[in-house]
Amino acid sequence: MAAMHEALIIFLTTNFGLQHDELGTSDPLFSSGLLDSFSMVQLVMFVEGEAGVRLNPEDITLDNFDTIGNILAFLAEVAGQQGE
Amino acid sequence: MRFGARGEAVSSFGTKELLEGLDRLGASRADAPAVVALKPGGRSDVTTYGDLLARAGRFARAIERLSPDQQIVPLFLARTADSIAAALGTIYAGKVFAMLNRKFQLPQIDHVLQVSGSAVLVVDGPALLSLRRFLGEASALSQVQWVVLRDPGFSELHEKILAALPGRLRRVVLSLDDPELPEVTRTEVMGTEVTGTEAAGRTAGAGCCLFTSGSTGTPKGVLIGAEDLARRAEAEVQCFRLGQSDVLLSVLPFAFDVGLNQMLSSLTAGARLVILESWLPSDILNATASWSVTGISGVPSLWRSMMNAGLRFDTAEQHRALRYVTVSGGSLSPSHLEKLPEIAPGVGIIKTYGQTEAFRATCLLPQDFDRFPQSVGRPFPGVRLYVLREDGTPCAAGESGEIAHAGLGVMRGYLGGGDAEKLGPDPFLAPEDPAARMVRTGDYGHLNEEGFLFLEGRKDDLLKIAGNRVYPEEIVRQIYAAAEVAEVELVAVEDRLGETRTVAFVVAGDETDQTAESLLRDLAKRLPPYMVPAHLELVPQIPRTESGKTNRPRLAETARSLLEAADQARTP
Repeated sequence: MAAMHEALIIFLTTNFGLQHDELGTSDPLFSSGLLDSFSMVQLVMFVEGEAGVRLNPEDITLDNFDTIGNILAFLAEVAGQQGE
Repeated sequence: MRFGARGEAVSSFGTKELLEGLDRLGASRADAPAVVALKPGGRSDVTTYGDLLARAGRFARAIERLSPDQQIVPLFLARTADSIAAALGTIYAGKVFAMLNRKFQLPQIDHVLQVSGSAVLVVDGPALLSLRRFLGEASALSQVQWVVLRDPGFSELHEKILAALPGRLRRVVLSLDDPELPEVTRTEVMGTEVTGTEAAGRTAGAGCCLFTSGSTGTPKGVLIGAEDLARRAEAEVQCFRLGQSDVLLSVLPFAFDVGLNQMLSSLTAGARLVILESWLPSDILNATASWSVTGISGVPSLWRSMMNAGLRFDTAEQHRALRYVTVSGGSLSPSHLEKLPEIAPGVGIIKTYGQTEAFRATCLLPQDFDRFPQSVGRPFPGVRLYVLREDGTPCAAGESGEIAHAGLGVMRGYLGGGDAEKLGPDPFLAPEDPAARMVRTGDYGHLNEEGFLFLEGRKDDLLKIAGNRVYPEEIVRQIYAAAEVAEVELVAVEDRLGETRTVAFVVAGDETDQTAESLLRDLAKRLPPYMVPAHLELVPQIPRTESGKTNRPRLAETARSLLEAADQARTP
């Protein structure tokens, strides 16, 4: 997950021009207005590619993607389910 | 052939009626929820009619003081109760609100501030986040006074950015629940004549200005009459049969005519507007279930993504309150149209067609969807719709021509002019008739024997990307501005999911050391996300036809294979 954390920060800073001080684990990405709903699709594609998983459309919600912390927790949950 | 007659089924409903109607709602439904803003983690902020209108009154008083001489008040705000209050308050103050596209970058904002000659820019927390990146560059942003709305969503991060704004920037912070801010009484401003200011000539009688992509490469400000705004809302209330028990889901921006009209219609009907800041299909399903939503105004790409994700409304149980969904601002392919009723069984499908310049031209009602799913319906009440031959004479039924729109929904003009090609006299009315103004849409189509309109394409290069209108020229212009490049060609192709995507082919100049990646990164700072090309390819030269013209079919073919390759590389 540490690698994923770092990959997310690199992706968000290079693709969306976000700054490091905006990217704390619990800083909202979408509800703060940092990113718009159009960027969500790109973020979801990146996360799927990076984690090598295909996410269930029902789980792709703003809440699961609104903070870096939420994304990591959500991916851990998905990995847990797939491991069972 | 023409349909609809002036005044048909339309009451003399105007700004005065809108304001009086809102006043009545403010009194009779003071405690009823007007706006519900959904927040992360299942939380929500509810604003009652009484509170919303009080906030609008306070904004009116403040803006009169802050911008006494300028007519246009640009609002760079997210969809919140306070952004609605700011729009209404601007009208109360007898001024023109310009709801700006939240995805605008510096070149667009700078242009808007310059052409509108505005003294202020109204911003919220999210706007501070996006604007602070531009403060290092010289622009009109440092000339205007920033009016910062400290709304209920103003977070610690927003406070931090506000505190760190450069000292030279003129700013004032406004909290609309500040009781110290006196309310303007609405009767005080009703019927105020706009006089004395320089801009008044063109903006007199306007209520709103929406900036949309222009064929010249910069956004155009479409001026809409305050009275027309009110009548458009009333027409939607009638056609969609809206009432106080309705709960409408707002997902479209207020800077987009369809989203703006939904908001005004909801208020006019005394309904409840539930604001969701997400286009994700499962967020839409969850919000519809939790709030018993009855109507959703949507664009084609929104419904496409729901169909492509394999999700649907459960209209027997969770989503049984849902009464209608709209397909507005673009078209769906025949196969998607056929599948649409399957994702919302028993729900009425309403298709609407129009332009910002000629808003809400036609509407296909649910009872006609089965017969003519490919049609965009018949004219809204009060609209006169013509299909014209090149010589300006009306086409016969079934004959194709350019669609023209007169009556309700016709803009007053572009801010700063330049509308002579688009807006002209209605040749079918007496020239002295004040309503004899007609917009040439640039769309081609035909009417059938029963007066249903079918669209057939565009006269120019206008694209629709995720519901947004985009002129390629605006993208090309920013590529030239971003780097020393020799030549740029932009092609649009439809991907396998039916979405329009653009690919830019760029011949780099000798002077530039830019790569495709660095150019795209630069473009992301200059263009709204939906305008940034899906792919940018540096090429040694642009392919030509024998006559020396750009070989566009060849470019389109290359574009398709480039996009496919990129998609495959991304799929896990």
